[in-house]
Amino acid sequence: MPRSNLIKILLSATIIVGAGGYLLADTMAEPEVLTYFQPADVVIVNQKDFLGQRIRMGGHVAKDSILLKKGTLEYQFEVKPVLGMMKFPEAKDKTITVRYTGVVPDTFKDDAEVIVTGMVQPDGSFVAKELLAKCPSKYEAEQKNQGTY
Amino acid sequence: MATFGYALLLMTLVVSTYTGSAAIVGHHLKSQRLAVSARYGAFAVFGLLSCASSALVYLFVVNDYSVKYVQHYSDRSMPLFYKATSFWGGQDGSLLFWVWVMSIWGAIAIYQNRDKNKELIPYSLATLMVITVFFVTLMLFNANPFETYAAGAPTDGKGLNPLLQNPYMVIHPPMLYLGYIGWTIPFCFAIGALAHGKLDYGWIAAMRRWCLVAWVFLSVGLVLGGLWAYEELGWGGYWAWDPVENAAFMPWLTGTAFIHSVQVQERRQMYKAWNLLLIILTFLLTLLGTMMTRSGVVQSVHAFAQSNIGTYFFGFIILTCVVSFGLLIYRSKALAPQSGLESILSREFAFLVNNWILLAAAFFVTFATLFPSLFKAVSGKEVNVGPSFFNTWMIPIGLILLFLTGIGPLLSWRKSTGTTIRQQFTVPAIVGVLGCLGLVFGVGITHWKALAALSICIFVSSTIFQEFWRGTRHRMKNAGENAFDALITLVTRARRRYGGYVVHFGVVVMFLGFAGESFKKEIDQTLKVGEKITIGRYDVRLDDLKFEDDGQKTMVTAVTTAFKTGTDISLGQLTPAKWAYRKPADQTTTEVSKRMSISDDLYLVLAGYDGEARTAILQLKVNPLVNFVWLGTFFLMIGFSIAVWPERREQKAKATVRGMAPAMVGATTLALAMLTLVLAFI
Repeated sequence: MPRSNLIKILLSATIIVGAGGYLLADTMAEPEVLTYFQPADVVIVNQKDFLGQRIRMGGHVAKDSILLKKGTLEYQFEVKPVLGMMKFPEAKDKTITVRYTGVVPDTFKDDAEVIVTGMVQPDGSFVAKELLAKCPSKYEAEQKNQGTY
Repeated sequence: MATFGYALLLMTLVVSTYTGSAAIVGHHLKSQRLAVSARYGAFAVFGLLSCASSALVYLFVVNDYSVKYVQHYSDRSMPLFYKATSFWGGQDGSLLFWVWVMSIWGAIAIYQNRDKNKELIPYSLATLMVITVFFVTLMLFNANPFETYAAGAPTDGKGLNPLLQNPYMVIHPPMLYLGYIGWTIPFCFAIGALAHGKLDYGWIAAMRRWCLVAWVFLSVGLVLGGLWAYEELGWGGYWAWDPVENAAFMPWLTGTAFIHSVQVQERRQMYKAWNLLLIILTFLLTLLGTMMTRSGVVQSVHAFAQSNIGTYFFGFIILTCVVSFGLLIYRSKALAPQSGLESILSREFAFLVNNWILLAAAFFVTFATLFPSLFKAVSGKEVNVGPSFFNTWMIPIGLILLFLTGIGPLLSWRKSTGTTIRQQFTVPAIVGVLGCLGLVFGVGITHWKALAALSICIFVSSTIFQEFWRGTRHRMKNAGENAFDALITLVTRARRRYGGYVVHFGVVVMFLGFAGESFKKEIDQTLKVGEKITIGRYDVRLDDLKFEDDGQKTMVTAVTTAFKTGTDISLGQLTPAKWAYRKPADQTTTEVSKRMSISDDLYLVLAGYDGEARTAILQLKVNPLVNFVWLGTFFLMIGFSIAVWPERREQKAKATVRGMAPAMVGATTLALAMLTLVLAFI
């Protein structure tokens, strides 16, 4: 390859890398891009640490806790930690109240695994702007060959 | 029957091991007999796996709930059609489906090459068999779809998720799999070429059509997945950068790079190592994608649950890396380019840039998809990467690629002179700039991303039309044909070139749809029966709230009528609904209702209701230009058909052969399926 072409290629590569770097810096500055995930038990035990911080919280919807204000899309429900995956066993029987306004996915119901994105409020509840739900029975429920490793 | 299926899998393991060994041993001993037997071995693997697949479908159809897989993914109340297609509803069955599809592709490839590319076949076949052995072993020891309950088999199944009981979900997985797995064959041939050392254009010539076929299936599969999400999931979009979607998109990107850069090797004997690298990467990404979605490595709302098959995949990926890159390094001398880049104003350079960007996109998507897992491994913290992160990166990347779609084909090979550049780009550039100004001042578009996308679409379309126009004019003058004849001859004489333009046009049309995304509108509104609401160019009136039950499910339907804003001109009825299925218990689905038109979709979701107060909460969306995404895919398929259609001289000589291959495959499959059914009843 002639030298001049090599220079041209290097030049274009620099432009591409530069553009990439700019985009990276740009996206990293946006607070909504990266959100930390926390299991519900961690949030329940260390509520104060998360005040005013946007997080994704994962847990299960407590049985019979879903309340819907009639004629609106204002939901309130309790989220409990995922058993077997807890860092704080003392949170076992505790729940956190989540409030969410909007359309819920079809999979949102009792016992469903949910991931809510939002903020812990000073009163100890969690206001979610986004709600994802996964019905535990729907996909492969059991883990096969458990404990092989 | 389940035992029979398991036995078939065991036999597949034996036969594929033999086939792979026979291919290599036969090659080294120069034994014609062994080579032929290896070839038949590939057909036998296809036959055995067809039987195994038929056996599984059969178990679904006859409601044999002693088989765990069948019990998990079907129930008695399901229509026969969905029972049969539950075959690929879960992990174990989809692995069987995977390896079966691979055996189909393999058998066709071996059949097509029975008289040619003799040097390539032994190692290609052996590679294919190693992959087959891997998948079959995985099923036999880890994810056996024929596993039965030891005692006390349930009398009914759990049922398939109603979301998956949708016609799109029936054809989307096969399409996607055909494309995804289609890349395995070119990979095998690449390894065959590397192992043998015959590194000229041969293996690519043998695989050129294959790659296009795999590419188009993968593209259509991806779009069908989007269409399913749009119709069924009710969030009004078709792509959310979910890991499962990304897993299929990653090999699409590298595959697209490959089908462009092979043309440079064909014309200029350059980029040999690069092409091999691309096809290896494409195959690795299909493995990585499967591992990501099947192992629980990556959190996804619709990923399969965790299982330890990820470890096996990881091992296999490492093995593939070592073998492929080892061979690449071993052959590095033979892969040196025979000619160099002469100018950056050349088509080969445009292809190089296109490749870089596609590869950068593939790298970015892979990185961002794996980022949460990597981040967790390093810092112990879990983090989420949202769609906005993907969009910030992929929109500029997509726009640059779209722009190159217009530039690349118009540059000459080797070096474009100033005159050719003026000739080729003056009109499209003027049209593009005028179009952009028109969009700003005429239509009033200020959203810069949409503006850029639409302007580039105009520019690229004009380059494509210019090509067709000039070609047709030329023929009309020189051959004295009328415009229509000239156009037809033009396209048939250079199918690959003009087929490619049509595919590019399809991409442009799809980008119109993507750009429309910037103008979408959305309202959530509680309406009393009789009330009206305005969104975009529509008025929507809630007419009635209906409660029904059909035995399988209870249905709540909001009957609404759409009107042209401010008038009484009815545009038709829309009936968004919520269905609650009895089985699986309490499973609800949102039934979207939409009014499609070329300029936009009115998309209604019933989000909530109050029967006593007679109110419904409606989510109303207007999605401008969304149908261009599907329309673009249609052009893509047409362009593909033009490009791969055999040339006329070839067609005459091989018409019988070409017709026979699919007929033979079809007949064999049918015969084997029948045989399985007969055996089942004995």
